[in-house]
Amino acid sequence: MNGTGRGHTVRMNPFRFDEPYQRFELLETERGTPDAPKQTNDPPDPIPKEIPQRLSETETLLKKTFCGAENSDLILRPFRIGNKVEALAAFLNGMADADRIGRFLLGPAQKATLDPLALRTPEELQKAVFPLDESKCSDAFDAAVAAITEGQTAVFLAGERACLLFDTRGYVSRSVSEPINETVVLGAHEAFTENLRTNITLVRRILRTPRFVASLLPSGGKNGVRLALLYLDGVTNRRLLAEIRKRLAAVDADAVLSVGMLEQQIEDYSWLPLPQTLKTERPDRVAASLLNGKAAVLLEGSPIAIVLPATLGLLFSSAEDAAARRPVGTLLRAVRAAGAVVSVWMPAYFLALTEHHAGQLSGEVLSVVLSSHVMVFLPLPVEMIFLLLVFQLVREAGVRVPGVVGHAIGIIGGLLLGQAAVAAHLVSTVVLIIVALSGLGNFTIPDYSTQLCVAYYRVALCVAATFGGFLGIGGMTLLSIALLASAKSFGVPMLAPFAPAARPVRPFLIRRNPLRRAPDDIANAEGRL
Amino acid sequence: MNDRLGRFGRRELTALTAICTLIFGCFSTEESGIFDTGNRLHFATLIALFVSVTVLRLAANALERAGADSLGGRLALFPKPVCGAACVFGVSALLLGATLPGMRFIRAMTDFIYVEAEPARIALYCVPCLAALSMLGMETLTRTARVLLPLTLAAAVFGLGSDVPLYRFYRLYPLLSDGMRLVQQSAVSLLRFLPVVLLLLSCARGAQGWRNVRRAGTVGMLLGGALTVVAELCLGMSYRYTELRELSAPLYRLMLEIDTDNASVRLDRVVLFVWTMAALFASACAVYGAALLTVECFSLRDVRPFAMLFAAAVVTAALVLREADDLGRKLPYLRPAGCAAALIPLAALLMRRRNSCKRE
Repeated sequence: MNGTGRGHTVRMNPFRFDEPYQRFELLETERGTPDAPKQTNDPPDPIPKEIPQRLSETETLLKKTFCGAENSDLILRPFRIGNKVEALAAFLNGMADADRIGRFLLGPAQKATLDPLALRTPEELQKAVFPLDESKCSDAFDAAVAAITEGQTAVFLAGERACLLFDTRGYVSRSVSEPINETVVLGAHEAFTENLRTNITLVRRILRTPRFVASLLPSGGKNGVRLALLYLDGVTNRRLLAEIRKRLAAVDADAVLSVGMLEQQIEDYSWLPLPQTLKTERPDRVAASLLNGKAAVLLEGSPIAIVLPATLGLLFSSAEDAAARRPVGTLLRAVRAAGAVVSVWMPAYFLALTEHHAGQLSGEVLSVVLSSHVMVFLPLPVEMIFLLLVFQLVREAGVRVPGVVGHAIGIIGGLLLGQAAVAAHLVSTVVLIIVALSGLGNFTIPDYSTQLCVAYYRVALCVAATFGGFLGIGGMTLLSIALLASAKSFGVPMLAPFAPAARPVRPFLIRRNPLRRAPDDIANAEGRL
Repeated sequence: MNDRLGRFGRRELTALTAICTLIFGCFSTEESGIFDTGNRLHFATLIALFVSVTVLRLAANALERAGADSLGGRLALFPKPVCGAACVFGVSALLLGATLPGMRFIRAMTDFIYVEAEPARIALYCVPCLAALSMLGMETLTRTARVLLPLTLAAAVFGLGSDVPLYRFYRLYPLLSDGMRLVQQSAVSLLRFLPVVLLLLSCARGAQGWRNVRRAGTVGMLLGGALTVVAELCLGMSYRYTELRELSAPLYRLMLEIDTDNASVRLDRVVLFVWTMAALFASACAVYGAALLTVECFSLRDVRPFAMLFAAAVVTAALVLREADDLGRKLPYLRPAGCAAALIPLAALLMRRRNSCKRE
């Protein structure tokens, strides 16, 4: 789909000629086989061992190490100890307890009175000024950086090649609830909250590296909330980051209240029913995606992150695939793929068989279908589409009604309504079984937006099967595959790394990689993408 | 220019080439003459395949040496009348290649599946698919081919493999019928892989280099061609040449021969519709190739109007040929002339190169 519309949004305009090929492309190279979009950047500079003597040099070095120009988490606080010794405190916002730093580091330092004749070595200052019990002295810059990423506070002193490290770790540990929509058996049990700072910290607790960047940006809505762009410097492709920043900067809306609203403003195709980003409420999933070279966006007031770019493989992967053993993980994926196939094609296939190609069924099967339908007054296609829509109705009601009542509605809808409908000859048992199987298959798809897309797509397929039989299904399937093949999420084709084949070849939907190749497969996404 | 060519890799181009070769190979033959004195179709296909691969490699080499990035771009450098004539011949060969499988599938459907349906109603389902696919462009088509190739191969293996107990070698007799001379003649008349060659040469720019075109073209054509030969051998071992003269849709008939009395569900129509999807896809590729050639030769701005127009023309032509059964059976005899004409641009390129070498 070529062309430009409002902002970056790609719109189909068959009547506009002479449009240049200007879509943002990330994957293709000039070598004949497209490359994976993972890092093409230069490797990051190694972290120096020595601490500079000058505080200004230390500050510059810290900013460079923590990507300080973009990383708003790094706090560098210059202060004086006893109004005499220049010092610089460095810590990560969210990882360190600010209250503890104020009460036990900055407060005592400013109130301290130092003997002008005494030696002011770091060890002496540590003993004389700071009342924190867990502290140590270090002369290695890389150790200081590692401590900062852990949530400790490093205090650098002017003219000294050593620093003091204080244990000020104080990140949030509870009030974080369990995921509601992405429950797992073997994985972590914490989900994002509505607090942006807490959410960044949840990810930072998993990715304890100075290369993890959380860049705070305005959301573009007139309600003025902020968002955080998360990525791993040196891993995420810089062109991808530039494109995401460009799109985020172009957002102009009355209000951005949820990541869903934000997603619509930055996605490639507004007409494509399939989601082009992965929405997740799990910090471990975001962390795993970042390790695989993706970026994520968190919005203030929204307990969901969007991971981009998303591919079909990512949308069909679950957070706990990596936790299961490899053969089991592969089997789980195969079951999921089979569930999706059943969910999409089974109702339409049944309709095509019974309405147009009854000769393909044996006499026994045909007689079972006919005998179950004989008392039903609705035509078979109407019956099928009616039941599929009722299924959606029950599902929507179950989602909207809170807690236990929601589960009860699902059970009542599933059992009683189905039973009553059969008894009242509104629907036939065979069709009911097919719709139930299709619904079950639909629930094996891990992503909620993809589930919805599949649920409505199968209704469209049923309509095509009613009118055209296998020809209708074939035509619609072919067009859908082509549309999917033409779609891109932030420059990465939705079907990558299968079509186009990205190098190195990694699993697409089913086969799971061994964990020794981690972090490529830690999320059980589709590999390096 | 909005040519919607995009960029694609070797594997995608290989998949596209294999599907197009298989479809044009299996579903473009209507020459009952080939079975006059025996079944020599598989030999003829083999020769046609090797001729086509050789033509592709030679033309790609010539165009590379001439510094062209595609066939259309090269033709545009010729004087207008020469370029126009060559373009017309190339486009005709591509559109004829797209029409014949469509005609055969419409006939198969009206004969066996939708017996009471009007062919025009069946064609109504094909037009939007064909137009939309060809308008989406080559990048999308190549990626779609990667998804479609396993499906097509599975359908081919299932369709041909399930009949193995029925195959008899003696049905291939007489193996060479009237000898090699007739096989050669058949091979010339069976240059049915030429649309694939023209398509590859037209879309070379998107493949990021002639080397990729040569490699993907050779591998894809050999893969698709090998399957075509196997399918024709299977047909030859299932029916005698006297029966093949009269049969329409023999590959579908082959699946009907399977004894499935005890099976709950037959799959022959599912297989047929996978073939139909592949045929629609291959036709869309040829339609896109024709539109691209037109746009490049005449320096036009957008490929989509021509893709839409050619898609409608192809389906209409398939319908007309299906109605005029006699014409439909005779038309393939015109193909040698069409194919020879389509070779003109290639020959012109080679001659021009030779002349420029002499001048140097």
